[in-house]
Amino acid sequence: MSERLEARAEVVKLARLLSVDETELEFLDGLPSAELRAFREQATNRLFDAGAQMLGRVGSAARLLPSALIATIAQRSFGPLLCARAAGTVDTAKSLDVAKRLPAPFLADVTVFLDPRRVAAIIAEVPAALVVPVARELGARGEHVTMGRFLAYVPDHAIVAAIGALEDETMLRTAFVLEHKDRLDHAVGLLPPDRMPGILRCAADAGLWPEALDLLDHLSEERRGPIADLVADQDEEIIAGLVRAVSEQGIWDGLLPVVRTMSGESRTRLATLPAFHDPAVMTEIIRAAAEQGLWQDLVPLIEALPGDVLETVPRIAAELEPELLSKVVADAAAAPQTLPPLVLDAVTHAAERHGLTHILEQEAQ
Amino acid sequence: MPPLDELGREFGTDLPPSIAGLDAAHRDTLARALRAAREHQAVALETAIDSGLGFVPRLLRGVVRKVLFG
Repeated sequence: MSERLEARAEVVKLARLLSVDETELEFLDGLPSAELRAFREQATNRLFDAGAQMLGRVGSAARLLPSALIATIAQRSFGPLLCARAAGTVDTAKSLDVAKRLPAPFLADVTVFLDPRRVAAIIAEVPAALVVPVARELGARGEHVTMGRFLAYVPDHAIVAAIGALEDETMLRTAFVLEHKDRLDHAVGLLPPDRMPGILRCAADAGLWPEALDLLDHLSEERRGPIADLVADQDEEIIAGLVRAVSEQGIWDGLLPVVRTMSGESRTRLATLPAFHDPAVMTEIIRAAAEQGLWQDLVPLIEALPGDVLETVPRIAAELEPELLSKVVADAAAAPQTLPPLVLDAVTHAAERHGLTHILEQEAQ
Repeated sequence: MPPLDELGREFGTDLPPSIAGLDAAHRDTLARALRAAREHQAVALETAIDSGLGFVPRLLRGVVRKVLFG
């Protein structure tokens, strides 16, 4: 869902690394984000390697000097870029002692240029007292991409501290551009329970439903279920906004799994809301399920729909184009128990009408 | 086989396919940007070390200079 934005974020990071305006790298737009990231890491290695010998000596010299003096030299001579390059050459205790003496805006500047892979040992030891002001500064500057590069390296106590310092909107935007999204489930587990309702309200108020759904998409089913219930618990207007946003962005693959993982009670509440009863919306949902193989995610929603809306579903399913229908028929034949009987009947009749019964027969064998 | 361009010489066959497949002008843009960043970094580092030494107390300056420049 977020590939285009992830690729965009990679171009921004590469432009920053090479000190060029991002418009100069517009020709990279549309390339796969994973390959852009691989190239950025290669370029990062080249730049760090280029000055490695001299930076290593700077690190050795730093051992001879008191931290307060290094902090002065860092600000007045080295500046943020060179401090970021040199940070990995100074031992952890010294680095942290120097960092404590630097103002948060300067540390935030350094953080922008840091390669977290090279300062992982320092990040692992960073105290909450340092994390909070720097996270707050980065959040205020909208440095979501920078913060997103660090989560995989930050210890739990620092994540908790940063969560306390960051606003809901900043957290949503940072989660969206995170480099190691496999860490999201763990990080969300560190959120105080009372934060999540505010984050969902923020998604509604700031038009960040795609970001919120992407976040939920990266959670384990166990973690997502209770949050999905909170989604269902929102006011009718908020749900209508969610459905509108999902429809506009065509991201039913983000919402349907959320609906599937909520409790039956929550799903029934959601399914009775008029936002899901618009025939155009139902058509979009069924098409998306057919195109993207989302029947498993769709069925719980269909089964929770009120009777009069449920009756429209077979007609919509039967009107799918033959190629989509053949996909649904194959899915249905492979696992007929996943389709509600009404829909299965409609699909079977439509398959007969379009001469697709051979697919059903093949799958039955 | 055509001679390698600057990006090819820098990264050899390690480039991700989509970057390797860029046209010559765009490959050159990336190579020049990387070269400029490296040169800028080298100059900035030299200047910073010179300037930083000025903050080091005279008593320690000789030792620090020896560590830095051998």
